[in-house]
Amino acid sequence: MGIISTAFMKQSRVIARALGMPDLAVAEYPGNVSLDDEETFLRKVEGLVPQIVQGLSSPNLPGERPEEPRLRDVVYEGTLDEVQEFYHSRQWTDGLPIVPPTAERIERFLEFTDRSPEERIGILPPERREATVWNVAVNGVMAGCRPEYMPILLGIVEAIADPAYRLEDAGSTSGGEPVVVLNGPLIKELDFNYGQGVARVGRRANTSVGRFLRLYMRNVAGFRIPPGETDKACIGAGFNVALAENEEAVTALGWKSFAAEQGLGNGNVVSVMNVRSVSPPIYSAGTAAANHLRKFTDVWGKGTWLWSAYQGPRSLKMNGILAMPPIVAKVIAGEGLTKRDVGRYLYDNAWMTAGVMEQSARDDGGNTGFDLCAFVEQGLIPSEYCRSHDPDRLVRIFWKPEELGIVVTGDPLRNLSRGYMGGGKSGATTSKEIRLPHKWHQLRQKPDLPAQ
Amino acid sequence: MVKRDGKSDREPLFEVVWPLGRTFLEAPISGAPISDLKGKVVGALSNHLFQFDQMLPVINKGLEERFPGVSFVDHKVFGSFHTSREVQVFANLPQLLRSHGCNAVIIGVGG
Repeated sequence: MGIISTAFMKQSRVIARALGMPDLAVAEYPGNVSLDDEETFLRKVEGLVPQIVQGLSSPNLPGERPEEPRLRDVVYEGTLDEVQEFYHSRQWTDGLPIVPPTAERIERFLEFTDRSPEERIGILPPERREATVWNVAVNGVMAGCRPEYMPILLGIVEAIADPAYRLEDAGSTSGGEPVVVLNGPLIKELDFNYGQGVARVGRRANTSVGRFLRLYMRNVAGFRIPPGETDKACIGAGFNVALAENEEAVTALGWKSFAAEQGLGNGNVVSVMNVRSVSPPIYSAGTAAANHLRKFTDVWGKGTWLWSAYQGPRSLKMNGILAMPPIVAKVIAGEGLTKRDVGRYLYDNAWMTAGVMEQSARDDGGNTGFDLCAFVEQGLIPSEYCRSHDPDRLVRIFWKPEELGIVVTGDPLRNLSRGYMGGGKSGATTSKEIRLPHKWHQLRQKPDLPAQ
Repeated sequence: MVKRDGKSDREPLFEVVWPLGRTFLEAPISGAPISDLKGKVVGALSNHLFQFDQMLPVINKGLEERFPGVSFVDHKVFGSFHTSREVQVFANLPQLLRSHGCNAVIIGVGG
């Protein structure tokens, strides 16, 4: 028997249906619990009791598997415009025009993997649909990807299907948007932008791969804004284009790539992290590493993270990615500092008051039980979070230095960085090696399909 | 397949496929409905969000008034599943529910 507030009733029905219990009883808390006064709150909670009694006395009847198209079934035939309208009407697009997924186009994508089209990559929440090699290709076609991006697309879906990523949280109010980070020789081979305007739409590889991920989450995982029911982003954000690292610069600095920092070497690797917020532009200047590190700490740490830093003590996890241009990285590396040292500096120098952290946790989702000292007593978090009960005592903003990744990218001659703030346990950085088909080089020589 | 009407002679036609994946239904949780909670044990599970800790005493009181003899196991006994220890919390759950003799579970709060 679950208690659900009104805003999440539709989502709960979708999830119950996906779990095979379409008639699962829930008690509805009317409205938003965080905005009710005490009297209203008590009245509404008392109103839950008869619903709970009723729900507990109701049987959970199993649902029936819906009739759904099979793998290669043609579901529509029409002109380009008609296909757009058909897909829009069924909520199968992201609101932008799609490339019609015809069998011929899909087969071209499938050539770029040695895996069977039927292979299941995972079961994706909330709709609990199968992620397969086939529907990766279908959505890749629709997003405007080139067939040779297929190994990257498969890596992305492997990442979000990994239970460690916790895709089930991707429809939450905070409305995070995943970012793909790409490492390896494919960056150059497939013409990914890793320089000026790297996070801007405009380069086909970065843009279509970024678009693919949101489209896939919508179509296969089932996160849809209204008239859909499962994407509960209060405001949300547009999709992020794929972020490629400037590996030449990384090598010249003597640093490790982002993927190598994740423990995956120097091959082709794709990483995905849910981005809760992007920092303001972080201009930093000066010939000393400290000039830049202090600015990161102030703008990204004390600025962007301040109101979400409770994620660490609450979720015991808190990822972030700092995108830094080569010219800034060079100043820092010039003093013998590594990427890990940057993370360590942020961890050691970004502080906030415990009172603000506790208040922001309570404001987010009515987390009334968020009490740092209680967590310390329970052995959940380090004792330094409760050196006293003074709400003005200082606590760390960052949870663990190793959860802060650095991607060297952007205009090689400009001094502006940006920080990507992750969630807590939701959408934690998840990396996968990209597997190329054994005929990769041969396939790359084949001419493109003729334009239709 | 949905066929379009009035095909154009000039524009190419596209035969397109379904972009979703098959739904994978779990076996539903079985359990007999409970219409009388007298003498029964009700456990509480929480994500520790949305003021569940403040709701629970009110709910328990309401149930107790209707079903004297009902007893409760507090949500703190089971731990929060809204942390990165979620897997561990859920893994321990069946044993904990059994050991406390829970006949029913209230879980909250979504949203």
